Amino acid sequence: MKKLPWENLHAALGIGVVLAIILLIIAGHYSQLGDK
Amino acid sequence: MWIGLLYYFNFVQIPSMPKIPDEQKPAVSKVIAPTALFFFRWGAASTVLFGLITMTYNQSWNNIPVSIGMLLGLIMAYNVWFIIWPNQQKALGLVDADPDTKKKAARMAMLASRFNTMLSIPMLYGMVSAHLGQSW
Repeated sequence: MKKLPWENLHAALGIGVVLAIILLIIAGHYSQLGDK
Repeated sequence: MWIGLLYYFNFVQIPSMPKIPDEQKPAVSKVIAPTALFFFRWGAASTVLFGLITMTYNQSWNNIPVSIGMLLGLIMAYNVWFIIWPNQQKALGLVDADPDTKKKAARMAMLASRFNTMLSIPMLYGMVSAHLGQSW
């Protein structure tokens, strides 16, 4: 059966951290827009 | 409670099941897992309910990271109720299923649970980001 990227627990946690960093960047972008 | 039980399933129960002798497995599959799943799915439902109430009260739908966190939470709650729970009922023998269906259901439930573990990290960040100040 084909393994999926998030099937391994450590991979799932790693991808989750990357997604959280992307959200952090989005949050930073919108907070800067609020400053203007 | 919801995320605590999600981490219990992913960090404790799923990795431990292969190490438990077959004759002792029913203690988990017939007693512990159904109880944990009860609080798991109702924890998910109440998180969505209180999340929507909080969002309405604070009018935080204008906050993009909080809204993304909410969206991730809704996807995860959908997974709990409509993918993990129906598949776990088959996998744990709470509803009748043949062995092949049980095996497929167990894998589907595990994949959805693992997917939720992945989404829980950005979701938790999204939920708290409004309180972290602009530097975070």
